[in-house]
Amino acid sequence: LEFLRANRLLIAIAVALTLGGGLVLISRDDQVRNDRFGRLLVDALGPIQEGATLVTTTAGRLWVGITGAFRSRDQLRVLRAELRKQGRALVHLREIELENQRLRRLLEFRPRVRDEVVAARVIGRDALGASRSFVIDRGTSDGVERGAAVLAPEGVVGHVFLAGRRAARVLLITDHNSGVDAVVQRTRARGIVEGRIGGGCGLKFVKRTESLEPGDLVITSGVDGIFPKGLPIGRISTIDKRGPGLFQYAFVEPTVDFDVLEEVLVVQRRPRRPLPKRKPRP
Amino acid sequence: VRLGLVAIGATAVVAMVLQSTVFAQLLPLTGVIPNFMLVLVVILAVHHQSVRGVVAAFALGYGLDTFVGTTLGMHAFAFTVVYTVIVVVGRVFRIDRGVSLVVAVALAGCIHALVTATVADLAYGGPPMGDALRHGAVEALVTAVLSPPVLAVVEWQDRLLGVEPG
Repeated sequence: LEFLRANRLLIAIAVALTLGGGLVLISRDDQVRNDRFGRLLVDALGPIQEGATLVTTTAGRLWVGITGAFRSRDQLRVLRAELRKQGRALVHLREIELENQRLRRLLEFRPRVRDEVVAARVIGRDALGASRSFVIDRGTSDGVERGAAVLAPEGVVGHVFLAGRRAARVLLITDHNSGVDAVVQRTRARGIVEGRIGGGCGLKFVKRTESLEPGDLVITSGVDGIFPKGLPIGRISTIDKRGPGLFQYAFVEPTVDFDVLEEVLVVQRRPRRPLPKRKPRP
Repeated sequence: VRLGLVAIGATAVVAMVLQSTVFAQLLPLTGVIPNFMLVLVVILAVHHQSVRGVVAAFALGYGLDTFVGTTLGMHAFAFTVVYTVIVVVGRVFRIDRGVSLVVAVALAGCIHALVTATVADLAYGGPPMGDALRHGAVEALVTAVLSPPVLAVVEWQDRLLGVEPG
Protein backbone atom coordinates (compact mmCIF):
# COMPACT_ATOMS: atom_id res chain seq x y z
CA LEU A 1 0.00 0.00 0.00
CA GLU A 2 2.84 2.34 0.84
CA PHE A 3 4.43 1.56 -2.53
CA LEU A 4 1.15 2.28 -4.36
CA ARG A 5 0.69 5.56 -2.47
CA ALA A 6 4.27 6.68 -3.15
CA ASN A 7 4.08 5.87 -6.87
CA ARG A 8 0.44 6.68 -7.63
CA LEU A 9 1.32 9.23 -10.37
CA LEU A 10 3.51 6.69 -12.19
CA ILE A 11 0.85 4.01 -11.82
CA ALA A 12 -1.87 6.36 -13.13
CA ILE A 13 0.30 7.22 -16.17
CA ALA A 14 0.99 3.52 -16.83
CA VAL A 15 -2.75 2.71 -16.61
CA ALA A 16 -3.65 5.62 -18.93
CA LEU A 17 -1.00 4.58 -21.48
CA THR A 18 -2.16 0.94 -21.37
CA LEU A 19 -5.80 2.02 -21.76
CA GLY A 20 -4.96 4.38 -24.66
CA GLY A 21 -2.82 1.76 -26.40
CA GLY A 22 -5.52 -0.87 -25.86
CA LEU A 23 -8.19 1.37 -27.38
CA VAL A 24 -5.96 1.98 -30.42
CA LEU A 25 -5.42 -1.77 -30.89
CA ILE A 26 -9.14 -2.49 -30.55
CA SER A 27 -10.32 0.27 -32.89
CA ARG A 28 -7.48 0.39 -35.45
CA ASP A 29 -9.41 -1.58 -38.12
CA ASP A 30 -12.76 0.11 -37.52
CA GLN A 31 -14.26 2.18 -40.33
CA VAL A 32 -17.10 3.25 -38.04
CA ARG A 33 -17.36 3.94 -34.33
CA ASN A 34 -20.21 3.40 -31.92
CA ASP A 35 -18.92 4.32 -28.44
CA ARG A 36 -21.47 5.84 -26.07
CA PHE A 37 -19.18 8.71 -24.97
CA GLY A 38 -18.50 9.68 -28.59
CA ARG A 39 -22.22 9.73 -29.41
CA LEU A 40 -22.95 11.80 -26.30
CA LEU A 41 -20.17 14.28 -27.12
CA VAL A 42 -21.28 14.70 -30.75
CA ASP A 43 -24.86 15.21 -29.57
CA ALA A 44 -23.88 17.63 -26.79
CA LEU A 45 -21.57 19.79 -28.92
CA GLY A 46 -23.81 19.66 -32.03
CA PRO A 47 -26.07 22.61 -31.07
CA ILE A 48 -23.05 24.66 -29.85
CA GLN A 49 -21.21 23.98 -33.10
CA GLU A 50 -24.34 24.95 -35.04
CA GLY A 51 -24.49 28.24 -33.13
CA ALA A 52 -20.76 28.94 -33.54
CA THR A 53 -20.96 28.22 -37.28
CA LEU A 54 -23.93 30.56 -37.57
CA VAL A 55 -22.04 33.32 -35.71
CA THR A 56 -18.91 32.82 -37.84
CA THR A 57 -20.89 32.84 -41.08
CA THR A 58 -22.77 35.96 -40.01
CA ALA A 59 -19.53 37.66 -38.97
CA GLY A 60 -18.01 36.75 -42.34
CA ARG A 61 -20.97 38.21 -44.19
CA LEU A 62 -20.81 41.36 -42.04
CA TRP A 63 -17.09 41.67 -42.74
CA VAL A 64 -17.72 41.41 -46.49
CA GLY A 65 -20.46 44.02 -46.17
CA ILE A 66 -18.29 46.44 -44.18
CA THR A 67 -15.26 46.21 -46.49
CA GLY A 68 -17.55 46.65 -49.49
CA ALA A 69 -19.03 49.80 -47.97
CA PHE A 70 -15.58 51.23 -47.20
CA ARG A 71 -14.44 50.69 -50.79
CA SER A 72 -17.30 52.71 -52.17
CA ARG A 73 -17.27 55.38 -49.42
CA ASP A 74 -15.57 58.12 -51.45
CA GLN A 75 -17.73 57.69 -54.52
CA LEU A 76 -21.06 57.26 -52.78
CA ARG A 77 -20.69 59.31 -49.61
CA VAL A 78 -24.15 60.87 -49.88
CA LEU A 79 -25.90 57.58 -50.54
CA ARG A 80 -23.86 55.49 -48.11
CA ALA A 81 -26.62 54.86 -45.64
CA GLU A 82 -29.02 53.85 -48.38
CA LEU A 83 -26.37 51.73 -50.04
CA ARG A 84 -25.59 49.83 -46.80
CA LYS A 85 -29.27 49.12 -46.34
CA GLN A 86 -29.63 47.94 -49.93
CA GLY A 87 -26.38 46.00 -49.67
CA ARG A 88 -27.57 44.08 -46.61
CA ALA A 89 -30.85 43.30 -48.33
CA LEU A 90 -29.02 42.20 -51.47
CA VAL A 91 -26.65 39.94 -49.52
CA HIS A 92 -29.65 38.41 -47.81
CA LEU A 93 -31.54 37.90 -51.08
CA ARG A 94 -28.46 36.55 -52.84
CA GLU A 95 -27.95 34.12 -49.98
CA ILE A 96 -31.54 32.93 -50.30
CA GLU A 97 -31.17 32.64 -54.08
CA LEU A 98 -27.95 30.63 -53.77
CA GLU A 99 -29.54 28.39 -51.16
CA ASN A 100 -32.51 27.84 -53.48
CA GLN A 101 -30.15 26.93 -56.32
CA ARG A 102 -28.28 24.45 -54.13
CA LEU A 103 -31.49 22.86 -52.82
CA ARG A 104 -32.91 22.65 -56.36
CA ARG A 105 -29.77 20.87 -57.50
CA LEU A 106 -30.09 18.47 -54.55
CA LEU A 107 -33.71 17.75 -55.57
CA GLU A 108 -32.69 17.17 -59.20
CA PHE A 109 -29.90 14.84 -58.04
CA ARG A 110 -32.23 12.80 -55.80
CA PRO A 111 -33.77 10.57 -58.55
CA ARG A 112 -30.25 9.42 -59.55
CA VAL A 113 -29.93 7.61 -56.21
CA ARG A 114 -32.33 4.69 -55.93
CA ASP A 115 -32.23 4.52 -52.12
CA GLU A 116 -34.07 6.83 -49.73
CA VAL A 117 -32.03 9.94 -48.93
CA VAL A 118 -32.23 12.72 -46.36
CA ALA A 119 -30.86 16.25 -46.81
CA ALA A 120 -28.50 17.60 -44.11
CA ARG A 121 -26.64 20.82 -43.34
CA VAL A 122 -22.93 21.02 -42.51
CA ILE A 123 -22.64 22.49 -38.99
CA GLY A 124 -19.00 21.82 -38.05
CA ARG A 125 -15.65 20.86 -39.50
CA ASP A 126 -12.73 18.69 -38.40
CA ALA A 127 -10.97 19.80 -35.20
CA LEU A 128 -7.46 19.39 -36.69
CA GLY A 129 -6.01 20.10 -40.14
CA ALA A 130 -4.51 16.67 -40.80
CA SER A 131 -7.83 14.85 -41.08
CA ARG A 132 -10.86 15.74 -43.11
CA SER A 133 -14.38 15.38 -41.73
CA PHE A 134 -17.40 17.45 -40.86
CA VAL A 135 -20.46 17.34 -38.63
CA ILE A 136 -24.01 17.36 -40.07
CA ASP A 137 -27.25 18.30 -38.33
CA ARG A 138 -28.91 14.90 -38.82
CA GLY A 139 -28.56 11.80 -36.65
CA THR A 140 -30.11 8.43 -35.97
CA SER A 141 -33.46 10.05 -35.13
CA ASP A 142 -33.59 11.21 -38.79
CA GLY A 143 -32.67 7.77 -40.13
CA VAL A 144 -28.96 8.54 -40.55
CA GLU A 145 -26.90 5.49 -39.63
CA ARG A 146 -23.17 4.92 -39.34
CA GLY A 147 -21.62 3.70 -42.56
CA ALA A 148 -24.22 5.51 -44.70
CA ALA A 149 -23.00 7.15 -47.92
CA VAL A 150 -22.98 10.96 -48.03
CA LEU A 151 -23.38 12.60 -51.45
CA ALA A 152 -23.57 15.97 -53.16
CA PRO A 153 -24.87 16.77 -56.65
CA GLU A 154 -21.24 16.98 -57.85
CA GLY A 155 -20.40 13.49 -56.53
CA VAL A 156 -19.28 11.45 -53.56
CA VAL A 157 -18.61 13.29 -50.26
CA GLY A 158 -17.83 10.48 -47.77
CA HIS A 159 -19.54 8.20 -45.26
CA VAL A 160 -21.08 8.60 -41.81
CA PHE A 161 -18.36 7.69 -39.32
CA LEU A 162 -20.11 8.43 -36.04
CA ALA A 163 -23.88 8.87 -35.67
CA GLY A 164 -25.41 10.59 -32.66
CA ARG A 165 -29.15 11.03 -32.19
CA ARG A 166 -29.32 14.57 -33.59
CA ALA A 167 -25.92 14.98 -35.30
CA ALA A 168 -23.37 12.84 -37.08
CA ARG A 169 -19.73 13.02 -38.13
CA VAL A 170 -18.91 12.41 -41.81
CA LEU A 171 -15.48 11.13 -42.88
CA LEU A 172 -14.65 12.77 -46.23
CA ILE A 173 -13.08 10.87 -49.15
CA THR A 174 -10.10 13.26 -48.85
CA ASP A 175 -9.29 11.97 -45.32
CA HIS A 176 -6.23 9.73 -45.31
CA ASN A 177 -8.23 7.00 -43.53
CA SER A 178 -10.84 6.87 -46.30
CA GLY A 179 -10.95 4.30 -49.12
CA VAL A 180 -13.53 4.04 -51.94
CA ASP A 181 -13.68 1.22 -54.50
CA ALA A 182 -13.61 2.97 -57.89
CA VAL A 183 -13.36 2.51 -61.67
CA VAL A 184 -12.04 4.82 -64.36
CA GLN A 185 -15.12 5.57 -66.49
CA ARG A 186 -13.32 5.51 -69.89
CA THR A 187 -11.31 2.28 -69.48
CA ARG A 188 -13.19 0.57 -66.58
CA ALA A 189 -9.82 0.13 -64.80
CA ARG A 190 -10.39 -0.76 -61.12
CA GLY A 191 -8.63 0.85 -58.16
CA ILE A 192 -9.04 2.32 -54.69
CA VAL A 193 -9.44 6.08 -54.16
CA GLU A 194 -7.68 7.15 -50.96
CA GLY A 195 -7.47 10.55 -49.23
CA ARG A 196 -4.14 12.38 -49.07
CA ILE A 197 -2.89 14.26 -46.02
CA GLY A 198 -2.20 17.44 -48.02
CA GLY A 199 -5.73 17.43 -49.50
CA GLY A 200 -7.11 15.82 -52.66
CA CYS A 201 -7.20 12.11 -53.43
CA GLY A 202 -5.08 9.41 -55.00
CA LEU A 203 -6.05 6.35 -57.08
CA LYS A 204 -4.01 3.29 -56.13
CA PHE A 205 -3.84 -0.41 -57.01
CA VAL A 206 -4.43 0.27 -60.74
CA LYS A 207 -2.57 -2.24 -62.95
CA ARG A 208 0.36 -0.78 -64.86
CA THR A 209 -1.05 -2.19 -68.10
CA GLU A 210 -4.24 -0.09 -67.77
CA SER A 211 -4.41 3.13 -69.77
CA LEU A 212 -4.89 6.27 -67.65
CA GLU A 213 -4.97 9.85 -68.93
CA PRO A 214 -5.25 13.23 -67.19
CA GLY A 215 -8.89 14.30 -67.24
CA ASP A 216 -10.29 10.76 -66.96
CA LEU A 217 -13.36 10.65 -64.73
CA VAL A 218 -13.15 8.29 -61.74
CA ILE A 219 -16.51 6.92 -60.55
CA THR A 220 -17.73 4.58 -57.80
CA SER A 221 -17.75 0.88 -58.67
CA GLY A 222 -20.60 0.09 -56.28
CA VAL A 223 -18.94 -3.10 -55.03
CA ASP A 224 -17.90 -1.75 -51.62
CA GLY A 225 -21.49 -1.89 -50.39
CA ILE A 226 -21.43 1.74 -49.24
CA PHE A 227 -21.67 3.98 -52.31
CA PRO A 228 -24.16 3.52 -55.15
CA LYS A 229 -22.55 2.61 -58.50
CA GLY A 230 -21.57 5.24 -61.08
CA LEU A 231 -21.29 8.38 -58.93
CA PRO A 232 -18.44 10.79 -59.83
CA ILE A 233 -15.49 10.88 -57.40
CA GLY A 234 -13.01 13.07 -59.26
CA ARG A 235 -10.84 13.59 -62.34
CA ILE A 236 -7.30 12.30 -62.76
CA SER A 237 -4.82 15.21 -62.70
CA THR A 238 -1.41 13.47 -62.94
CA ILE A 239 -0.19 9.89 -63.25
CA ASP A 240 2.83 8.43 -61.44
CA LYS A 241 4.43 5.29 -62.95
CA ARG A 242 7.91 5.90 -61.52
CA GLY A 243 7.83 3.40 -58.66
CA PRO A 244 8.53 -0.31 -59.11
CA GLY A 245 5.79 -2.93 -58.82
CA LEU A 246 2.66 -4.05 -60.59
CA PHE A 247 0.62 -0.90 -60.01
CA GLN A 248 0.56 2.73 -61.07
CA TYR A 249 -0.69 5.69 -59.02
CA ALA A 250 -2.78 8.66 -60.11
CA PHE A 251 -3.61 11.93 -58.35
CA VAL A 252 -7.34 12.65 -58.39
CA GLU A 253 -8.98 16.07 -58.10
CA PRO A 254 -12.36 15.53 -56.35
CA THR A 255 -15.44 16.77 -58.22
CA VAL A 256 -16.85 18.08 -54.93
CA ASP A 257 -15.42 21.33 -53.51
CA PHE A 258 -15.49 20.42 -49.79
CA ASP A 259 -14.51 23.92 -48.64
CA VAL A 260 -17.78 25.46 -49.83
CA LEU A 261 -20.11 22.52 -49.20
CA GLU A 262 -23.12 23.53 -47.06
CA GLU A 263 -25.77 20.87 -47.76
CA VAL A 264 -25.45 17.15 -48.47
CA LEU A 265 -27.63 14.09 -49.03
CA VAL A 266 -27.29 11.05 -46.76
CA VAL A 267 -28.39 7.66 -48.09
CA GLN A 268 -30.84 6.08 -45.62
CA ARG A 269 -29.96 2.42 -45.73
CA ARG A 270 -27.60 0.02 -44.03
CA PRO A 271 -24.57 -1.21 -46.00
CA ARG A 272 -25.38 -4.42 -47.90
CA ARG A 273 -22.44 -6.16 -46.23
CA PRO A 274 -19.95 -5.39 -43.42
CA LEU A 275 -17.66 -2.43 -44.04
CA PRO A 276 -14.21 -3.41 -45.38
CA LYS A 277 -11.21 -3.33 -43.04
CA ARG A 278 -8.44 -0.84 -43.78
CA LYS A 279 -5.96 -2.07 -46.37
CA PRO A 280 -2.28 -1.89 -45.37
CA ARG A 281 -0.14 0.62 -47.25
CA PRO A 282 1.72 -1.17 -50.10
CA VAL B 1 -7.27 21.99 -7.57
CA ARG B 2 -10.80 20.82 -8.34
CA LEU B 3 -11.80 24.30 -9.52
CA GLY B 4 -8.64 24.52 -11.63
CA LEU B 5 -9.75 21.37 -13.44
CA VAL B 6 -13.24 22.83 -13.91
CA ALA B 7 -11.73 25.91 -15.59
CA ILE B 8 -9.59 23.67 -17.82
CA GLY B 9 -12.61 21.53 -18.69
CA ALA B 10 -14.69 24.58 -19.60
CA THR B 11 -11.84 25.93 -21.73
CA ALA B 12 -11.56 22.51 -23.40
CA VAL B 13 -15.22 22.66 -24.51
CA VAL B 14 -14.71 26.17 -25.92
CA ALA B 15 -11.45 25.07 -27.60
CA MET B 16 -13.13 22.05 -29.19
CA VAL B 17 -15.99 24.15 -30.56
CA LEU B 18 -13.55 26.80 -31.86
CA GLN B 19 -11.32 24.18 -33.48
CA SER B 20 -14.20 22.38 -35.18
CA THR B 21 -16.07 25.49 -36.40
CA VAL B 22 -14.28 28.86 -36.58
CA PHE B 23 -10.72 27.63 -37.22
CA ALA B 24 -11.92 24.76 -39.42
CA GLN B 25 -13.65 27.29 -41.69
CA LEU B 26 -10.37 29.21 -41.96
CA LEU B 27 -8.44 26.02 -42.84
CA PRO B 28 -8.40 26.69 -46.62
CA LEU B 29 -6.64 30.03 -45.83
CA THR B 30 -4.36 28.99 -42.96
CA GLY B 31 -3.59 25.33 -43.80
CA VAL B 32 -3.38 24.41 -40.10
CA ILE B 33 -5.65 24.49 -37.05
CA PRO B 34 -4.07 25.40 -33.68
CA ASN B 35 -4.54 22.58 -31.18
CA PHE B 36 -5.58 24.42 -28.01
CA MET B 37 -6.27 21.10 -26.25
CA LEU B 38 -2.50 20.56 -26.28
CA VAL B 39 -1.98 23.83 -24.38
CA LEU B 40 -4.43 22.56 -21.75
CA VAL B 41 -2.45 19.31 -21.41
CA VAL B 42 0.73 21.37 -20.80
CA ILE B 43 -1.12 23.47 -18.19
CA LEU B 44 -2.31 20.23 -16.55
CA ALA B 45 1.25 18.85 -16.51
CA VAL B 46 2.54 22.04 -14.87
CA HIS B 47 -0.28 22.68 -12.35
CA HIS B 48 -1.78 19.24 -11.71
CA GLN B 49 0.95 16.66 -11.23
CA SER B 50 -1.46 14.13 -9.75
CA VAL B 51 -3.71 11.23 -10.67
CA ARG B 52 -6.44 13.76 -11.47
CA GLY B 53 -4.07 15.47 -13.90
CA VAL B 54 -3.37 12.18 -15.71
CA VAL B 55 -7.09 11.36 -15.91
CA ALA B 56 -7.87 14.88 -17.19
CA ALA B 57 -5.14 14.67 -19.88
CA PHE B 58 -6.46 11.25 -20.96
CA ALA B 59 -10.03 12.59 -21.05
CA LEU B 60 -8.99 15.59 -23.19
CA GLY B 61 -7.38 13.18 -25.67
CA TYR B 62 -10.44 10.94 -25.65
CA GLY B 63 -12.63 13.97 -26.34
CA LEU B 64 -10.38 15.00 -29.24
CA ASP B 65 -10.58 11.43 -30.59
CA THR B 66 -14.32 11.99 -31.09
CA PHE B 67 -13.75 14.90 -33.45
CA VAL B 68 -10.45 13.96 -35.13
CA GLY B 69 -9.45 10.91 -37.16
CA THR B 70 -10.90 7.41 -36.85
CA THR B 71 -8.78 5.55 -34.31
CA LEU B 72 -10.27 5.71 -30.80
CA GLY B 73 -7.58 6.17 -28.14
CA MET B 74 -4.94 7.66 -30.46
CA HIS B 75 -4.98 11.17 -28.95
CA ALA B 76 -5.79 9.85 -25.45
CA PHE B 77 -2.55 7.84 -25.65
CA ALA B 78 -0.59 10.74 -27.19
CA PHE B 79 -1.83 13.28 -24.62
CA THR B 80 -0.81 10.92 -21.78
CA VAL B 81 2.69 10.70 -23.29
CA VAL B 82 2.82 14.51 -23.70
CA TYR B 83 1.63 14.97 -20.10
CA THR B 84 4.34 12.60 -18.82
CA VAL B 85 7.13 14.29 -20.79
CA ILE B 86 6.09 17.79 -19.69
CA VAL B 87 5.89 16.65 -16.02
CA VAL B 88 9.48 15.38 -16.32
CA VAL B 89 10.66 18.53 -18.15
CA GLY B 90 8.82 20.70 -15.61
CA ARG B 91 10.84 19.14 -12.80
CA VAL B 92 14.09 20.19 -14.49
CA PHE B 93 13.12 23.58 -16.00
CA ARG B 94 10.71 26.14 -14.61
CA ILE B 95 7.61 26.47 -16.85
CA ASP B 96 5.36 29.38 -15.94
CA ARG B 97 4.20 31.76 -18.67
CA GLY B 98 5.61 33.67 -21.62
CA VAL B 99 8.56 32.13 -23.43
CA SER B 100 8.86 29.03 -21.23
CA LEU B 101 5.19 28.13 -21.86
CA VAL B 102 5.56 28.75 -25.63
CA VAL B 103 8.64 26.49 -25.75
CA ALA B 104 6.91 23.79 -23.67
CA VAL B 105 3.84 23.85 -25.95
CA ALA B 106 6.03 23.68 -29.07
CA LEU B 107 7.82 20.66 -27.56
CA ALA B 108 4.47 19.13 -26.62
CA GLY B 109 3.18 19.68 -30.18
CA CYS B 110 6.21 17.95 -31.69
CA ILE B 111 5.87 15.00 -29.29
CA HIS B 112 2.14 14.79 -30.04
CA ALA B 113 2.84 14.75 -33.81
CA LEU B 114 5.58 12.14 -33.41
CA VAL B 115 3.46 9.85 -31.20
CA THR B 116 0.30 10.06 -33.35
CA ALA B 117 2.29 9.53 -36.58
CA THR B 118 4.15 6.54 -35.08
CA VAL B 119 1.02 4.97 -33.56
CA ALA B 120 -0.89 5.45 -36.85
CA ASP B 121 1.99 3.90 -38.80
CA LEU B 122 2.26 0.91 -36.45
CA ALA B 123 -1.50 0.42 -36.03
CA TYR B 124 -2.74 0.66 -39.60
CA GLY B 125 0.05 2.01 -41.82
CA GLY B 126 -1.28 5.62 -41.49
CA PRO B 127 -0.31 8.56 -43.74
CA PRO B 128 3.30 9.00 -44.94
CA MET B 129 5.38 9.68 -41.79
CA GLY B 130 7.25 12.65 -43.35
CA ASP B 131 4.05 14.45 -44.34
CA ALA B 132 2.46 13.84 -40.92
CA LEU B 133 5.54 15.09 -39.02
CA ARG B 134 5.92 18.19 -41.22
CA HIS B 135 2.26 19.07 -40.76
CA GLY B 136 2.48 18.33 -37.02
CA ALA B 137 5.55 20.56 -36.59
CA VAL B 138 3.85 23.54 -38.28
CA GLU B 139 0.72 22.97 -36.20
CA ALA B 140 2.87 22.79 -33.03
CA LEU B 141 4.54 26.12 -33.82
CA VAL B 142 1.22 27.89 -34.50
CA THR B 143 -0.28 26.41 -31.31
CA ALA B 144 2.78 27.46 -29.27
CA VAL B 145 2.57 31.07 -30.47
CA LEU B 146 -1.13 31.19 -29.50
CA SER B 147 -0.68 29.45 -26.11
CA PRO B 148 -0.36 32.54 -23.80
CA PRO B 149 -3.96 33.68 -24.50
CA VAL B 150 -5.23 30.17 -23.70
CA LEU B 151 -3.38 30.28 -20.35
CA ALA B 152 -4.87 33.73 -19.74
CA VAL B 153 -8.39 32.36 -20.34
CA VAL B 154 -7.84 29.49 -17.86
CA GLU B 155 -6.41 31.92 -15.25
CA TRP B 156 -9.33 34.30 -15.82
CA GLN B 157 -11.80 31.47 -15.22
CA ASP B 158 -9.85 30.45 -12.10
CA ARG B 159 -10.13 34.02 -10.78
CA LEU B 160 -13.82 34.01 -11.69
CA LEU B 161 -14.25 30.84 -9.63
CA GLY B 162 -12.22 32.38 -6.83
CA VAL B 163 -9.30 29.95 -6.77
CA GLU B 164 -5.75 30.17 -8.09
CA PRO B 165 -4.54 27.15 -10.12
CA GLY B 166 -3.27 24.40 -7.84
